[in-house]
Amino acid sequence: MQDAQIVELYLQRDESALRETEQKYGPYLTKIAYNILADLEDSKESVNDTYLKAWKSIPPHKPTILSTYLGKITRQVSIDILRKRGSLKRQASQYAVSLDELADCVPTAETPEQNIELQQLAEAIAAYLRTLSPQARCTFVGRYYFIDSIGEIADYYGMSKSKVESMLHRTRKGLKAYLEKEGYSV
Amino acid sequence: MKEEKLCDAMNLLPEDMIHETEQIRASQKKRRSSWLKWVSAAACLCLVVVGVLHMNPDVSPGTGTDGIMPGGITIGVDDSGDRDEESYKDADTTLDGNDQTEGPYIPWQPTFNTVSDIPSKIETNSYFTQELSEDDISAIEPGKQIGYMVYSGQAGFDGDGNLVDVQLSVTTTLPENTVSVMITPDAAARDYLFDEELIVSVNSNISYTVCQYDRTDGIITLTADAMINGYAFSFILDTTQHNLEQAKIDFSEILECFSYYLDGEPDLTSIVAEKNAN
Repeated sequence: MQDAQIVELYLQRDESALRETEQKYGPYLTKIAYNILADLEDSKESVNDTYLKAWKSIPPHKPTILSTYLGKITRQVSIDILRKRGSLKRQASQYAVSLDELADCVPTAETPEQNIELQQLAEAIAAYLRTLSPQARCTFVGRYYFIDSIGEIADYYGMSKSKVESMLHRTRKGLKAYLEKEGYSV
Repeated sequence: MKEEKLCDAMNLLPEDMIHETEQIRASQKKRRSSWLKWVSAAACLCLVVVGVLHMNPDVSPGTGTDGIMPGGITIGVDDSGDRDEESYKDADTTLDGNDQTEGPYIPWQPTFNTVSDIPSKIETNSYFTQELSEDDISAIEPGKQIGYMVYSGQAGFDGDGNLVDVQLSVTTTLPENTVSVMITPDAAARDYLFDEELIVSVNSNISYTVCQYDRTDGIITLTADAMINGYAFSFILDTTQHNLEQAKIDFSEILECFSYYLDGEPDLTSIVAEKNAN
Protein backbone atom coordinates (compact mmCIF):
# COMPACT_ATOMS: atom_id res chain seq x y z
CA MET A 1 0.00 0.00 0.00
CA GLN A 2 1.24 3.49 -0.81
CA ASP A 3 2.26 5.76 2.05
CA ALA A 4 -0.40 8.30 1.16
CA GLN A 5 -3.07 5.61 1.47
CA ILE A 6 -1.76 4.51 4.86
CA VAL A 7 -1.70 8.10 6.08
CA GLU A 8 -5.26 8.49 4.83
CA LEU A 9 -6.27 5.49 6.99
CA TYR A 10 -4.76 7.23 10.02
CA LEU A 11 -6.60 10.43 9.17
CA GLN A 12 -9.88 8.51 8.93
CA ARG A 13 -9.11 6.84 12.29
CA ASP A 14 -9.16 3.43 10.59
CA GLU A 15 -7.28 0.96 12.79
CA SER A 16 -6.12 -1.01 9.77
CA ALA A 17 -3.58 1.81 9.43
CA LEU A 18 -1.61 0.13 12.23
CA ARG A 19 -1.63 -3.27 10.49
CA GLU A 20 -0.55 -1.73 7.20
CA THR A 21 2.20 0.23 8.96
CA GLU A 22 3.46 -2.85 10.72
CA GLN A 23 3.44 -4.86 7.51
CA LYS A 24 5.32 -2.25 5.52
CA TYR A 25 7.64 -0.73 8.09
CA GLY A 26 7.88 -3.31 10.91
CA PRO A 27 11.32 -4.70 9.95
CA TYR A 28 12.63 -1.22 9.10
CA LEU A 29 11.61 0.21 12.47
CA THR A 30 12.79 -2.87 14.37
CA LYS A 31 16.19 -2.46 12.76
CA ILE A 32 16.43 1.17 13.91
CA ALA A 33 15.36 0.19 17.43
CA TYR A 34 17.69 -2.80 17.60
CA ASN A 35 20.68 -0.75 16.44
CA ILE A 36 20.16 1.43 19.50
CA LEU A 37 18.94 -1.09 22.07
CA ALA A 38 20.63 -4.37 21.03
CA ASP A 39 17.72 -6.24 22.60
CA LEU A 40 14.83 -7.72 20.63
CA GLU A 41 12.22 -7.46 23.40
CA ASP A 42 13.01 -3.81 24.05
CA SER A 43 13.06 -3.21 20.29
CA LYS A 44 9.56 -4.66 19.95
CA GLU A 45 8.38 -2.47 22.80
CA SER A 46 9.90 0.55 21.08
CA VAL A 47 8.24 -0.27 17.76
CA ASN A 48 4.86 -0.83 19.44
CA ASP A 49 5.22 2.55 21.15
CA THR A 50 5.97 4.01 17.73
CA TYR A 51 2.66 2.71 16.35
CA LEU A 52 0.84 4.16 19.34
CA LYS A 53 2.52 7.53 19.02
CA ALA A 54 1.84 7.57 15.29
CA TRP A 55 -1.81 6.80 15.96
CA LYS A 56 -2.00 9.65 18.48
CA SER A 57 -0.13 12.17 16.36
CA ILE A 58 -1.72 11.57 12.91
CA PRO A 59 -3.83 13.72 12.80
CA PRO A 60 -3.03 16.54 13.46
CA HIS A 61 0.26 15.68 11.72
CA LYS A 62 0.13 14.58 8.13
CA PRO A 63 3.60 13.22 7.36
CA THR A 64 4.91 13.68 3.85
CA ILE A 65 7.48 10.88 4.18
CA LEU A 66 5.93 8.23 6.41
CA SER A 67 9.07 6.09 6.82
CA THR A 68 11.10 9.07 8.06
CA TYR A 69 8.29 10.20 10.34
CA LEU A 70 7.97 6.77 11.93
CA GLY A 71 11.75 6.25 12.05
CA LYS A 72 12.21 9.47 14.00
CA ILE A 73 9.65 8.34 16.56
CA THR A 74 11.30 4.92 16.90
CA ARG A 75 14.73 6.44 17.28
CA GLN A 76 13.59 8.82 20.04
CA VAL A 77 11.57 6.15 21.85
CA SER A 78 14.52 3.74 21.71
CA ILE A 79 16.92 6.36 23.08
CA ASP A 80 14.44 7.06 25.89
CA ILE A 81 14.26 3.33 26.69
CA LEU A 82 18.05 3.16 26.69
CA ARG A 83 18.30 6.08 29.11
CA LYS A 84 15.61 4.55 31.34
CA ARG A 85 17.51 1.28 31.28
CA GLY A 86 20.67 3.13 32.37
CA SER A 87 18.85 4.79 35.23
CA LEU A 88 17.40 1.44 36.34
CA LYS A 89 20.92 0.10 36.66
CA ARG A 90 21.81 3.04 38.87
CA GLN A 91 18.82 2.40 41.10
CA ALA A 92 20.81 0.10 43.34
CA SER A 93 21.79 3.08 45.51
CA GLN A 94 19.42 4.94 47.79
CA TYR A 95 20.78 8.15 46.34
CA ALA A 96 19.49 7.16 42.94
CA VAL A 97 16.13 6.15 44.44
CA SER A 98 15.81 9.51 46.16
CA LEU A 99 16.74 11.31 42.95
CA ASP A 100 14.09 9.38 41.09
CA GLU A 101 11.52 10.38 43.70
CA LEU A 102 12.54 13.99 43.35
CA ALA A 103 12.17 13.66 39.61
CA ASP A 104 8.41 13.65 40.24
CA CYS A 105 8.73 17.28 41.32
CA VAL A 106 10.26 18.53 38.12
CA PRO A 107 8.53 18.77 34.77
CA THR A 108 9.48 15.83 32.59
CA ALA A 109 9.11 17.63 29.31
CA GLU A 110 11.96 19.74 28.02
CA THR A 111 11.52 23.46 28.41
CA PRO A 112 10.70 25.52 25.32
CA GLU A 113 14.18 27.08 25.59
CA GLN A 114 15.80 23.65 25.52
CA ASN A 115 13.71 22.68 22.53
CA ILE A 116 14.67 25.81 20.63
CA GLU A 117 18.33 25.26 21.51
CA LEU A 118 18.15 21.68 20.26
CA GLN A 119 16.39 22.78 17.08
CA GLN A 120 19.09 25.38 16.44
CA LEU A 121 21.80 22.79 16.97
CA ALA A 122 20.06 20.44 14.52
CA GLU A 123 19.88 23.26 11.98
CA ALA A 124 23.61 23.93 12.40
CA ILE A 125 24.42 20.23 11.93
CA ALA A 126 22.19 20.10 8.86
CA ALA A 127 23.78 23.24 7.41
CA TYR A 128 27.21 21.67 7.77
CA LEU A 129 26.11 18.33 6.35
CA ARG A 130 24.73 20.11 3.27
CA THR A 131 28.23 21.34 2.48
CA LEU A 132 29.45 17.73 2.16
CA SER A 133 29.26 15.30 -0.73
CA PRO A 134 26.11 13.11 -0.68
CA GLN A 135 28.32 10.11 0.11
CA ALA A 136 29.95 11.75 3.13
CA ARG A 137 26.58 13.08 4.30
CA CYS A 138 24.79 9.72 4.03
CA THR A 139 27.69 7.98 5.71
CA PHE A 140 27.35 10.34 8.66
CA VAL A 141 23.55 10.05 8.82
CA GLY A 142 23.80 6.27 8.47
CA ARG A 143 26.22 6.04 11.37
CA TYR A 144 24.81 8.62 13.77
CA TYR A 145 21.12 8.69 12.94
CA PHE A 146 20.47 5.07 11.94
CA ILE A 147 23.34 3.79 14.15
CA ASP A 148 24.38 1.38 11.38
CA SER A 149 27.65 -0.50 11.77
CA ILE A 150 30.72 0.52 9.77
CA GLY A 151 30.39 -2.76 7.84
CA GLU A 152 26.79 -2.04 6.89
CA ILE A 153 27.66 1.45 5.71
CA ALA A 154 30.55 0.04 3.68
CA ASP A 155 27.95 -2.24 2.09
CA TYR A 156 25.69 0.69 1.08
CA TYR A 157 28.43 2.16 -1.01
CA GLY A 158 30.57 -0.84 -1.83
CA MET A 159 33.58 0.81 -0.25
CA SER A 160 36.05 -0.44 2.32
CA LYS A 161 35.44 -0.13 6.04
CA SER A 162 38.63 1.87 6.42
CA LYS A 163 37.35 4.39 3.90
CA VAL A 164 34.09 4.70 5.85
CA GLU A 165 35.99 5.23 9.11
CA SER A 166 38.24 7.75 7.47
CA MET A 167 35.29 9.63 6.00
CA LEU A 168 33.48 9.66 9.36
CA HIS A 169 36.57 10.90 11.14
CA ARG A 170 36.89 13.82 8.75
CA THR A 171 33.19 14.66 8.95
CA ARG A 172 33.28 14.63 12.76
CA LYS A 173 36.31 16.85 12.73
CA GLY A 174 34.76 19.23 10.21
CA LEU A 175 31.52 19.33 12.18
CA LYS A 176 33.38 20.13 15.37
CA ALA A 177 35.17 23.03 13.70
CA TYR A 178 31.90 24.26 12.18
CA LEU A 179 30.01 24.11 15.47
CA GLU A 180 32.81 25.91 17.29
CA LYS A 181 32.70 28.62 14.64
CA GLU A 182 28.95 28.89 15.21
CA GLY A 183 29.57 29.49 18.91
CA TYR A 184 28.95 26.03 20.32
CA SER A 185 31.45 24.65 22.80
CA VAL A 186 32.08 21.10 21.65
CA MET B 1 28.58 19.74 24.78
CA LYS B 2 27.33 16.34 25.79
CA GLU B 3 27.20 13.65 23.15
CA GLU B 4 23.60 12.99 24.17
CA LYS B 5 22.63 16.48 23.08
CA LEU B 6 24.16 15.90 19.66
CA CYS B 7 22.39 12.57 19.49
CA ASP B 8 19.05 14.24 20.30
CA ALA B 9 19.71 16.97 17.75
CA MET B 10 20.27 14.32 15.09
CA ASN B 11 16.63 13.37 15.57
CA LEU B 12 15.63 16.84 14.41
CA LEU B 13 17.53 16.70 11.11
CA PRO B 14 15.45 17.66 8.08
CA GLU B 15 13.38 14.82 6.66
CA ASP B 16 14.87 15.10 3.18
CA MET B 17 18.34 14.46 4.63
CA ILE B 18 17.24 11.34 6.48
CA HIS B 19 15.20 10.15 3.53
CA GLU B 20 18.26 10.48 1.28
CA THR B 21 20.11 7.94 3.45
CA GLU B 22 17.00 5.77 3.83
CA GLN B 23 16.85 5.32 0.07
CA ILE B 24 20.48 4.24 -0.13
CA ARG B 25 19.99 1.74 2.70
CA ALA B 26 16.84 0.39 1.05
CA SER B 27 18.45 -0.02 -2.35
CA GLN B 28 21.27 -2.02 -0.80
CA LYS B 29 18.76 -4.29 0.96
CA LYS B 30 16.89 -4.95 -2.29
CA ARG B 31 20.11 -5.89 -4.03
CA ARG B 32 21.08 -8.17 -1.17
CA SER B 33 17.62 -9.72 -1.00
CA SER B 34 17.64 -10.56 -4.70
CA TRP B 35 21.16 -11.94 -4.50
CA LEU B 36 20.36 -14.00 -1.41
CA LYS B 37 17.24 -15.42 -3.05
CA TRP B 38 19.13 -16.80 -6.03
CA VAL B 39 22.07 -18.08 -4.03
CA SER B 40 19.72 -19.70 -1.54
CA ALA B 41 17.67 -21.34 -4.29
CA ALA B 42 20.83 -22.68 -5.91
CA ALA B 43 22.10 -23.96 -2.55
CA CYS B 44 18.78 -25.72 -1.85
CA LEU B 45 18.82 -27.32 -5.27
CA CYS B 46 22.36 -28.60 -4.74
CA LEU B 47 21.48 -29.97 -1.31
CA VAL B 48 18.44 -31.77 -2.60
CA VAL B 49 20.34 -33.28 -5.53
CA VAL B 50 23.12 -34.42 -3.22
CA GLY B 51 20.55 -35.78 -0.76
CA VAL B 52 18.71 -37.74 -3.42
CA LEU B 53 21.92 -39.17 -4.83
CA HIS B 54 22.94 -40.14 -1.34
CA MET B 55 19.62 -41.88 -0.61
CA ASN B 56 19.50 -43.61 -4.02
CA PRO B 57 23.06 -44.30 -5.06
CA ASP B 58 21.77 -45.94 -8.24
CA VAL B 59 20.03 -42.76 -9.36
CA SER B 60 22.24 -40.36 -11.21
CA PRO B 61 21.13 -36.93 -12.40
CA GLY B 62 18.80 -37.18 -15.35
CA THR B 63 17.65 -40.71 -14.65
CA GLY B 64 14.21 -39.87 -13.25
CA THR B 65 11.45 -42.20 -14.38
CA ASP B 66 9.32 -40.99 -17.31
CA GLY B 67 10.69 -37.49 -17.08
CA ILE B 68 9.63 -37.13 -13.46
CA MET B 69 12.51 -35.88 -11.38
CA PRO B 70 13.48 -37.99 -8.37
CA GLY B 71 11.46 -37.21 -5.26
CA GLY B 72 12.32 -34.15 -3.30
CA ILE B 73 13.54 -31.92 -6.06
CA THR B 74 10.23 -30.35 -6.93
CA ILE B 75 9.33 -29.75 -3.32
CA GLY B 76 12.77 -28.45 -2.58
CA VAL B 77 12.77 -25.95 -5.43
CA ASP B 78 9.22 -24.74 -4.83
CA ASP B 79 9.83 -24.28 -1.15
CA SER B 80 13.08 -22.48 -1.56
CA GLY B 81 11.61 -19.28 -2.86
CA ASP B 82 9.13 -18.82 -0.02
CA ARG B 83 11.42 -20.06 2.66
CA ASP B 84 14.16 -17.80 1.50
CA GLU B 85 11.95 -14.74 1.56
CA GLU B 86 10.75 -15.72 5.00
CA SER B 87 14.16 -16.45 6.40
CA TYR B 88 15.40 -13.12 5.07
CA LYS B 89 12.60 -11.35 6.90
CA ASP B 90 13.47 -13.30 10.02
CA ALA B 91 17.06 -12.30 9.71
CA ASP B 92 15.92 -8.73 9.49
CA THR B 93 13.78 -8.86 12.57
CA THR B 94 16.01 -10.97 14.76
CA LEU B 95 18.70 -8.51 13.82
CA ASP B 96 21.93 -9.54 15.28
CA GLY B 97 22.87 -5.97 14.67
CA ASN B 98 26.16 -5.90 12.91
CA ASP B 99 27.36 -6.95 9.55
CA GLN B 100 27.63 -10.72 9.47
CA THR B 101 31.03 -10.46 7.89
CA GLU B 102 32.36 -8.53 10.87
CA GLY B 103 34.30 -10.69 13.27
CA PRO B 104 35.98 -9.67 16.50
CA TYR B 105 38.72 -7.07 16.03
CA ILE B 106 42.08 -8.74 15.64
CA PRO B 107 45.01 -6.33 15.85
CA TRP B 108 47.37 -6.40 12.92
CA GLN B 109 50.74 -7.91 13.81
CA PRO B 110 53.39 -7.26 11.18
CA THR B 111 56.42 -9.49 10.93
CA PHE B 112 59.50 -7.72 12.23
CA ASN B 113 62.65 -8.39 10.22
CA THR B 114 65.79 -8.48 12.32
CA VAL B 115 68.47 -6.34 10.69
CA SER B 116 72.11 -5.74 11.59
CA ASP B 117 72.24 -2.06 10.68
CA ILE B 118 70.17 0.81 9.33
CA PRO B 119 71.58 2.56 6.24
CA SER B 120 72.80 6.09 6.84
CA LYS B 121 70.64 9.02 5.88
CA ILE B 122 70.85 10.81 2.56
CA GLU B 123 71.75 14.48 3.03
CA THR B 124 70.14 17.23 0.99
CA ASN B 125 71.95 20.51 0.31
CA SER B 126 70.48 23.82 1.47
CA TYR B 127 67.89 21.95 3.48
CA PHE B 128 65.90 23.93 6.01
CA THR B 129 62.85 23.17 8.15
CA GLN B 130 59.84 24.94 9.56
CA GLU B 131 57.32 23.89 12.21
CA LEU B 132 54.05 22.46 10.95
CA SER B 133 50.96 24.54 11.72
CA GLU B 134 47.73 22.96 12.97
CA ASP B 135 46.31 23.21 9.46
CA ASP B 136 49.37 21.45 8.05
CA ILE B 137 49.02 18.62 10.56
CA SER B 138 45.32 18.42 9.86
CA ALA B 139 46.07 17.91 6.17
CA ILE B 140 48.50 15.10 6.93
CA GLU B 141 47.00 13.11 9.79
CA PRO B 142 45.25 9.92 8.72
CA GLY B 143 41.55 9.13 8.99
CA LYS B 144 41.90 6.95 12.04
CA GLN B 145 43.08 8.16 15.41
CA ILE B 146 43.78 6.50 18.72
CA GLY B 147 43.41 8.57 21.88
CA TYR B 148 47.09 8.53 22.78
CA MET B 149 48.25 9.86 19.39
CA VAL B 150 49.24 13.54 19.42
CA TYR B 151 50.97 15.05 16.42
CA SER B 152 53.67 17.66 16.00
CA GLY B 153 56.29 18.05 13.33
CA GLN B 154 58.34 19.91 10.79
CA ALA B 155 58.36 20.34 7.04
CA GLY B 156 61.70 20.26 5.23
CA PHE B 157 62.40 22.39 2.13
CA ASP B 158 65.26 22.70 -0.33
CA GLY B 159 67.05 25.99 -1.02
CA ASP B 160 64.35 27.05 -3.47
CA GLY B 161 61.58 26.49 -0.94
CA ASN B 162 60.31 23.26 -2.51
CA LEU B 163 58.91 20.73 -0.07
CA VAL B 164 61.37 17.85 0.36
CA ASP B 165 59.77 15.92 3.21
CA VAL B 166 57.54 16.11 6.24
CA GLN B 167 58.57 14.74 9.59
CA LEU B 168 55.77 14.03 12.02
CA SER B 169 56.19 13.00 15.65
CA VAL B 170 53.41 10.83 17.01
CA THR B 171 53.13 10.10 20.72
CA THR B 172 52.47 6.55 21.94
CA THR B 173 51.12 5.08 25.19
CA LEU B 174 54.60 5.43 26.69
CA PRO B 175 55.81 9.01 27.29
CA GLU B 176 59.39 8.07 26.46
CA ASN B 177 58.47 6.55 23.08
CA THR B 178 57.61 8.69 20.07
CA VAL B 179 57.14 7.44 16.55
CA SER B 180 58.80 9.57 13.91
CA VAL B 181 56.98 9.48 10.56
CA MET B 182 58.91 10.76 7.56
CA ILE B 183 56.81 11.43 4.46
CA THR B 184 58.52 12.08 1.14
CA PRO B 185 56.97 12.59 -2.29
CA ASP B 186 58.70 9.57 -3.79
CA ALA B 187 60.59 6.47 -2.70
CA ALA B 188 63.87 7.71 -4.16
CA ALA B 189 63.85 10.67 -1.78
CA ARG B 190 63.40 8.63 1.38
CA ASP B 191 66.01 8.66 4.10
CA TYR B 192 67.30 5.17 3.61
CA LEU B 193 66.55 2.03 1.64
CA PHE B 194 66.66 -1.53 2.89
CA ASP B 195 67.41 -4.62 0.86
CA GLU B 196 64.44 -5.85 -1.13
CA GLU B 197 64.79 -9.39 0.25
CA LEU B 198 63.21 -8.61 3.61
CA ILE B 199 59.80 -10.05 4.52
CA VAL B 200 56.96 -7.73 3.65
CA SER B 201 53.83 -7.52 5.84
CA VAL B 202 50.61 -6.45 4.15
CA ASN B 203 47.74 -4.57 5.78
CA SER B 204 44.83 -2.80 4.01
CA ASN B 205 46.56 -3.53 0.69
CA ILE B 206 49.64 -1.61 1.79
CA SER B 207 52.98 -3.43 1.91
CA TYR B 208 55.17 -2.61 4.89
CA THR B 209 58.81 -3.58 5.38
CA VAL B 210 59.06 -3.73 9.16
CA CYS B 211 62.43 -4.11 10.90
CA GLN B 212 63.90 -4.36 14.37
CA TYR B 213 67.49 -3.27 14.92
CA ASP B 214 69.11 -4.04 18.30
CA ARG B 215 71.85 -1.46 18.70
CA THR B 216 74.96 -2.02 20.77
CA ASP B 217 74.05 0.85 23.12
CA GLY B 218 70.93 -1.04 24.28
CA ILE B 219 68.50 1.03 22.19
CA ILE B 220 66.17 -0.95 19.94
CA THR B 221 65.00 0.76 16.77
CA LEU B 222 61.77 -0.31 15.08
CA THR B 223 61.32 0.85 11.50
CA ALA B 224 58.68 0.43 8.83
CA ASP B 225 58.59 1.59 5.23
CA ALA B 226 55.63 1.74 2.90
CA MET B 227 54.32 3.51 -0.17
CA ILE B 228 50.90 5.03 0.58
CA ASN B 229 48.98 6.92 -2.12
CA GLY B 230 52.21 7.74 -3.95
CA TYR B 231 54.13 8.95 -0.90
CA ALA B 232 57.01 7.12 0.76
CA PHE B 233 56.41 6.71 4.49
CA SER B 234 59.18 5.82 6.94
CA PHE B 235 58.22 5.10 10.55
CA ILE B 236 60.89 4.96 13.25
CA LEU B 237 60.59 4.26 16.96
CA ASP B 238 63.51 4.03 19.39
CA THR B 239 62.79 2.04 22.52
CA THR B 240 64.39 -0.23 25.11
CA GLN B 241 64.18 -3.96 25.83
CA HIS B 242 62.04 -3.13 28.88
CA ASN B 243 59.40 -1.34 26.77
CA LEU B 244 59.76 -3.44 23.65
CA GLU B 245 56.53 -5.41 23.91
CA GLN B 246 54.33 -2.33 24.38
CA ALA B 247 56.37 -0.40 21.82
CA LYS B 248 55.65 -3.03 19.18
CA ILE B 249 51.92 -2.89 19.93
CA ASP B 250 51.86 0.92 19.69
CA PHE B 251 54.03 0.88 16.60
CA SER B 252 51.72 -1.60 14.82
CA GLU B 253 48.63 0.42 15.81
CA ILE B 254 50.15 3.62 14.49
CA LEU B 255 51.11 1.88 11.24
CA GLU B 256 47.52 0.70 10.95
CA CYS B 257 46.17 4.22 11.53
CA PHE B 258 48.33 5.51 8.69
CA SER B 259 46.65 3.10 6.29
CA TYR B 260 43.41 5.10 6.74
CA TYR B 261 43.85 7.68 4.02
CA LEU B 262 41.24 8.45 1.40
CA ASP B 263 42.27 8.65 -2.24
CA GLY B 264 44.46 11.68 -2.83
CA GLU B 265 45.52 11.95 0.81
CA PRO B 266 47.67 13.14 2.44
CA ASP B 267 47.51 16.44 0.61
CA LEU B 268 50.85 18.16 1.13
CA THR B 269 50.26 20.96 -1.37
CA SER B 270 49.14 23.38 1.34
CA ILE B 271 52.50 23.10 3.13
CA VAL B 272 54.58 25.96 1.79
CA ALA B 273 57.81 27.58 2.93
CA GLU B 274 57.31 30.89 4.71
CA LYS B 275 60.82 31.99 3.79
CA ASN B 276 63.66 30.82 1.58
CA ALA B 277 66.83 29.33 2.97
CA ASN B 278 68.80 32.40 2.05
